[in-house]
Amino acid sequence: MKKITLSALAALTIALSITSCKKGEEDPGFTILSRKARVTGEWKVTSLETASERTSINYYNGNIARTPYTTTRSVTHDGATYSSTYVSPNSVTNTNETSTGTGSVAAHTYTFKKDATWESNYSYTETVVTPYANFTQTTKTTFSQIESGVWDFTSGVGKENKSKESILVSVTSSKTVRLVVIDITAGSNTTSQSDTYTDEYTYAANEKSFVWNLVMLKNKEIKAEASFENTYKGDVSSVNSGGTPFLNVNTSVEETGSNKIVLTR
Amino acid sequence: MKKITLSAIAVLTLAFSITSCKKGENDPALSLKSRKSRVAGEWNVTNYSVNSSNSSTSPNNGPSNSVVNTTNTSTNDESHDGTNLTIISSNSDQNYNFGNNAVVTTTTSSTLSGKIMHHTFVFEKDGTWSAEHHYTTTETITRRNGDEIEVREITSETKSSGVWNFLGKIGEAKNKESMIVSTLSSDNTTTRVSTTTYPNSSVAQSSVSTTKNVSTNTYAVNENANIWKITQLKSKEIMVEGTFDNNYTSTNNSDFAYTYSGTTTTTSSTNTSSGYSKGTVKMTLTAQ
Repeated sequence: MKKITLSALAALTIALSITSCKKGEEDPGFTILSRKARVTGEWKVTSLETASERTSINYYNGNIARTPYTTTRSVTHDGATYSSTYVSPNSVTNTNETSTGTGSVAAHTYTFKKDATWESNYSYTETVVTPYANFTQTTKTTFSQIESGVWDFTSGVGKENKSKESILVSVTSSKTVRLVVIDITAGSNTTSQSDTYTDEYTYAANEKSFVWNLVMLKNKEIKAEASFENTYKGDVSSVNSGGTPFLNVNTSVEETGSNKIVLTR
Repeated sequence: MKKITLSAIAVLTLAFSITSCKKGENDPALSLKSRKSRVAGEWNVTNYSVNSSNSSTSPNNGPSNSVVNTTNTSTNDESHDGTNLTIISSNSDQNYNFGNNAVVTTTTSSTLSGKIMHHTFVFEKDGTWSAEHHYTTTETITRRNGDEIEVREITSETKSSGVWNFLGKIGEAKNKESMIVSTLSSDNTTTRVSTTTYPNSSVAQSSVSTTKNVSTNTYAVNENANIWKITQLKSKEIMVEGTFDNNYTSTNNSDFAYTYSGTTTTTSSTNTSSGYSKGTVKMTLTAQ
């Protein structure tokens, strides 16, 4: 009888452990490693998917200042091949123009340490070829970014939040170097512009932060994502002494998107 | 002997409890309420202060196609005690004046006083929050040696809501020492009424203009989030603060080559801009 009770207790303990381990949708059913231990380590980004869509409408004194327009942007890489797409309407004809880029990823890594610090290294090259009526423009970008900061888990306040389900990634230092070379060829005539942009930023801890929702946290693989969906509506109206309106500007902006990342140890 | 051991264990347990309760500098040594229970409730903001200083240096057009670096600096101190509001700001802007062939610095400063109508927060145990911030300010601007006086009254009402959560204890951070306050919705209406009079005019005249700004913002969870460090978490009073201290340097090296009919022309330039923004936000919440 005593043996049966002990076995039942052991089974119950394991069952409870299994439940408590699973925070993200694709988390393993059971692991003996803590979530902190599973996050810490050196990681390679083996998949990145970012997509965003932005729609803007502007009215001026009741008239639409410009036809409502939508731009979409996406960037993906699999750790080796980089591609991007940008679709925006021509400001004159309002027909959509698509710009696509291809390239390669030299490095995209993250290191999360147990002392709550992290660092990342991201570098890639991209080439965008845009044919116009009388000339061709080729834009080559060499991108390099080194960042570091602090990280922490979020807690479990509210029914929808599980403890340590998400992590807060705060940037405290960022250095980005972009070499952008634009070549325009029209017959035998050419122009070439080369710009190197070097941007260095530092921040206080938690001043510039992002929250990653951990969809899957395994010892060898992490899937994280963050979505954004913001809207802005603004109305400005003015009246003079006689109560006559003389200005009415309405602006509406909607932006949606998501960032998905897969880290492999 | 057994009694002494039990007493020692009890004292040790209590000591550990006291240590584990205290996260913020001014936290009570011992509280029977959980940190979540202490945050949840209806609060009045009884003390609020923001002190910030900003600076930016950037290249601008100078004489003979040269580049002149100019610096703009500003400070802003805003505070209230739940009733009276004070906003003190100063600006120093540099521009190159081609007429004087020199960089000219223009400084302005202002002190605004106002009233707080509402500044409240409600934190729910289900992880949601809502807030109201309603204030008015009055500013009198005198121009043309007193011939023109503008009285500018601004009323601002903001209602916002969102979700909140604690942060964990990775590294030096203590568990639930800080909270993340994420805004999902924010509605603001700001009305500015400007009344201008001309006291020295032979003919009585005045003008009034009213401008109303109405804005609505919505966000996804954690898209627009602030981190509050809780320096004191008592059942009746909470003190929080946030620090910002950012610096930037941006450099652009540009080379341009143009080939036309076999002849190549090249130009190059380097521009650097830099700046900083730093300050603190402190807030005291008192239970309603």
